[in-house]
Amino acid sequence: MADDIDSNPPDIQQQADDRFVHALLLHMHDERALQHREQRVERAMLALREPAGRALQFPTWVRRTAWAAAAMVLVAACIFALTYSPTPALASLSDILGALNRPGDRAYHIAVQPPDPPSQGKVGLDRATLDLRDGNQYLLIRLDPKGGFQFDGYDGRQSWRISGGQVAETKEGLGAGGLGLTETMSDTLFSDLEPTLKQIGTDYTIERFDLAPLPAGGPPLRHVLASRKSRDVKGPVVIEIWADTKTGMPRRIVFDQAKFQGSTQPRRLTFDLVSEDVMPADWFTPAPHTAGKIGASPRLAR
Amino acid sequence: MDDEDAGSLTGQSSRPIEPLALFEVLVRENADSLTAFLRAGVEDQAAVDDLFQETMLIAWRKIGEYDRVRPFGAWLRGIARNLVLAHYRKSAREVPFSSDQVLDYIDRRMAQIDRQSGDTFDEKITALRDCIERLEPMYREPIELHYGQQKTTEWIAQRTATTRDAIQKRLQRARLQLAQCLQRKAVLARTG
Repeated sequence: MADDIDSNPPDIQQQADDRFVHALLLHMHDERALQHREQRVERAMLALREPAGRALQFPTWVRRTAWAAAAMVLVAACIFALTYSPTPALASLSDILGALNRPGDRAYHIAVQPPDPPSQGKVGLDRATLDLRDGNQYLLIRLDPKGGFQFDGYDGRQSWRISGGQVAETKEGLGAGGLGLTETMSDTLFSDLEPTLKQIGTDYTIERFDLAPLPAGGPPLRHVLASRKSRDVKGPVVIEIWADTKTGMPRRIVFDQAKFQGSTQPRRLTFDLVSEDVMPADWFTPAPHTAGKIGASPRLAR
Repeated sequence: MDDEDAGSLTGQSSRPIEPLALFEVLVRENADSLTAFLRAGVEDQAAVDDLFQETMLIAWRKIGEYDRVRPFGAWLRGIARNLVLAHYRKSAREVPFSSDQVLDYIDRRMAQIDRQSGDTFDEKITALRDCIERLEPMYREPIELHYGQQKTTEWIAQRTATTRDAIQKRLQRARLQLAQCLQRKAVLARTG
């Protein structure tokens, strides 16, 4: 059967052979092919073996379309990781990240250093705002270089995107985004966040687990700094978290020297908690953010 | 899928064997060729990883439908093929091939690799190294730079004082020459 290959038009054959050999070359030159294979298999088997883990795990397209979901995956993944490696530092990390899943509203500002060059005209993550509610609703507000904002949200029932002041797409459940994803949102770091954090217990060294203020000062906070054990580990070189000593709520999360897809330069991603104020009841639905309702993104616009 | 269904995979449902463990062995054996298939269909490495996982989840869910007469790798690729097409429909990304037939053709090429002698995927494609060696330098060098040293086509173009388009064309020609070489070596079936 394999050899009825001539039945295809020549251009199909050429395209296919081109892509086929491309894939073989990628495999052949992947110096860490074995490690990558093991990671893929382990990740898949883990999802199959652990019903609890599966319940916590967001579907792939959620991680790829929604930053907020990525943040929630972070929470889930860390808690999950701890079931394997319950060291005191990791247990504290679980507590810190678990706070994000508690009922309530919170907003994070996102900073990317260095940011995308403005000339690229992409809707990036730098200066974006991530609003979260109860660990299962989110709103990501990003600056559109063409003007205005792009909103990606999920109200616990429906996911949606608003671009150019218009509802560009809605979808029942998570994953609105039949629209093309920006390159930034499909960055390896985020789509691979979960396996990255699962590796904290094994592939990251907890360098510091103490009380420390934010670099700019202020009261002491719970502080965890984990660094990658080797270059073979896929993920940011350093993960650093400062959290409220009482509530465990992360005040700042940093992924340092993280490699973004499409860019050889490692970058630093910082989430800063800017508010825990209660947001309007419909804040995670499209309605408050459509055209004609200016002021839809107060924190970003301020 | 329940354990009884999964037990049918072994054909010995009364035997105390863990079906998931058996599934894992099969997955591990076919992981490289599945990954190569996904890489042929999707450029984005993160998407490859995600589709790999989705393929596994669906395969396990549908393991009761697996026909043991068929190679397991081919069955996995069948699932992966549909996921690749769904990936493009869902993301509205530009599909890098003109027709679904391209994926089917790649699947058949993968099946030809599966039939090669060798315990591992690397062993089965070992002839490719020799084919690379046989390329003329003008084709071999961009292949080595682009795939071996992960240099961008832009970088190679600047280094060789040519254009990016020219390098992309050269890479494409090189890949087609490699496919022809693999045909001459009977790794792949010959085409017209």
